Amino acid sequence: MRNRKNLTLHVHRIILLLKNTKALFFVPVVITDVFIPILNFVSYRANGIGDELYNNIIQFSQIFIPFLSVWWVVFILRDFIDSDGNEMLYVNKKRSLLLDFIAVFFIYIINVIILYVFYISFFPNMKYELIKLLLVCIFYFGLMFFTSKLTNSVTITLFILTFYLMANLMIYGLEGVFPLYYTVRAANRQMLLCNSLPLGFTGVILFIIGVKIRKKL
Amino acid sequence: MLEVKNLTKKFKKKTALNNISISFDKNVYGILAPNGAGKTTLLRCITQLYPQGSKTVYYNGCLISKHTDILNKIGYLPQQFGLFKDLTVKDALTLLANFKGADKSDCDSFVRDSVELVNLSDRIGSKVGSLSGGMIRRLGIAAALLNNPEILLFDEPTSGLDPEERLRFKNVITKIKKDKIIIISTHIVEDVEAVCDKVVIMKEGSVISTGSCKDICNIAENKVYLFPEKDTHLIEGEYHIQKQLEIDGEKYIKVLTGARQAIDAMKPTVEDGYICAIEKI
Repeated sequence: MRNRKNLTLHVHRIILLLKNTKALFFVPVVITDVFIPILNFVSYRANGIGDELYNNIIQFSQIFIPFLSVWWVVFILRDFIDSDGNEMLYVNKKRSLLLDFIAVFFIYIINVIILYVFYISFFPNMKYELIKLLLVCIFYFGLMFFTSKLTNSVTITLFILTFYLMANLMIYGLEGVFPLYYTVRAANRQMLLCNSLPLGFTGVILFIIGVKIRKKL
Repeated sequence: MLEVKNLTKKFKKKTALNNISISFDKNVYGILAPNGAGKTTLLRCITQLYPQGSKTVYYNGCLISKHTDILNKIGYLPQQFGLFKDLTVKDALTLLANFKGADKSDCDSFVRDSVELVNLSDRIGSKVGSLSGGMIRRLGIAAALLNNPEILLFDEPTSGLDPEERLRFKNVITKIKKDKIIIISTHIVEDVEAVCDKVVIMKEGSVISTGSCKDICNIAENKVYLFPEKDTHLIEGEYHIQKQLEIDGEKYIKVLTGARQAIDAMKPTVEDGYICAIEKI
């Protein structure tokens, strides 16, 4: 009964927190569920099912999905970090806030998984890409949380995330150079073990350090 | 009873609170202090926003940091309030009530009651960002009142409000004060005089005086004099000009002084007592 009440509270709170992001809420939805599939479809129409389409999917996914995975959380954090009187929010229920942020992150991740289930039906190897993307998303989440706690600024956090994304697009290799993840080659087990897994692990560590930093939240 | 025991808080080299011990029972307390004296820091320690509060703040004998459910019994209004500007008043308050652990059905009644108290019922569907400064302040008060808290902490609640809004705030306090510990931090003596049962005077991180409004007035007993402006040369000893007055066309100055004067002393006000305590007159 108590667990059910807590779950209801969480769901209700998450809905209101997402509602507060206004039009920004639709950015990840539109890009992930409309824009990327349209680009993929254009490639499919031009080249059919093959390497061109595979590369098209993984490149656009690598550019947009990790960054967008933290989009909602960053804009929810605005009120917790930048708003006047935000200390009012830290007086009650400190721990459950983290669960809210994680839940919002996972709502987007589920969206990505659903999209990739569709891709995997065409390209079985796409499962490696999905695992890679999920690990990179965890890194982004950890980096975002750590930076926002350390700097107490959503603007600086967004700047650092954008800078990291840009670095990935400018310095990329075949296998991915840690701590960067962007590759032009299809993901494989070796890449997952040597690059993506350490990134995901680093993301978890950054998140834990962020939680331990005793600065609000 | 809310108790603060041996609380010290330092910001680098500056001591914001210096070994404060104070207890609050079910009354309305006014913390009067000049800017930078540690009022906000004290309230933040009570709400556990600063770690120094974790070993020093007790409610009914329980350490608040060990019984965190007590935090849900605290309503806190920070100096500035401007949360969830893209939500409606109703949604913003519902969200804040949710943070305090109220479930959806309770949220509705808490929100309805608190907006009624602060007279914002007609703006319940408006976006927070579209409210005026005074209304946002009232919304902050409503947010603090959510969940019917046993302890209410208001940090400078009337600063920046017009006289009508200040009057409204005082009425709200009068309506809700029964069976609650209410602590109002302010430097506006008038507000304290109007609504507080007890007064705590702080200076440079220390409590220098506590008592009822009458006790605070008594600090300035035989220290308040009214002199015609032209007769200021008759004032003996050092003095502080409290204010200038005009009575029947003649200008007077009200002075605070520890030196006995040739004329009779005036009946002191809380403000006189506060200034005497702060300035050590």
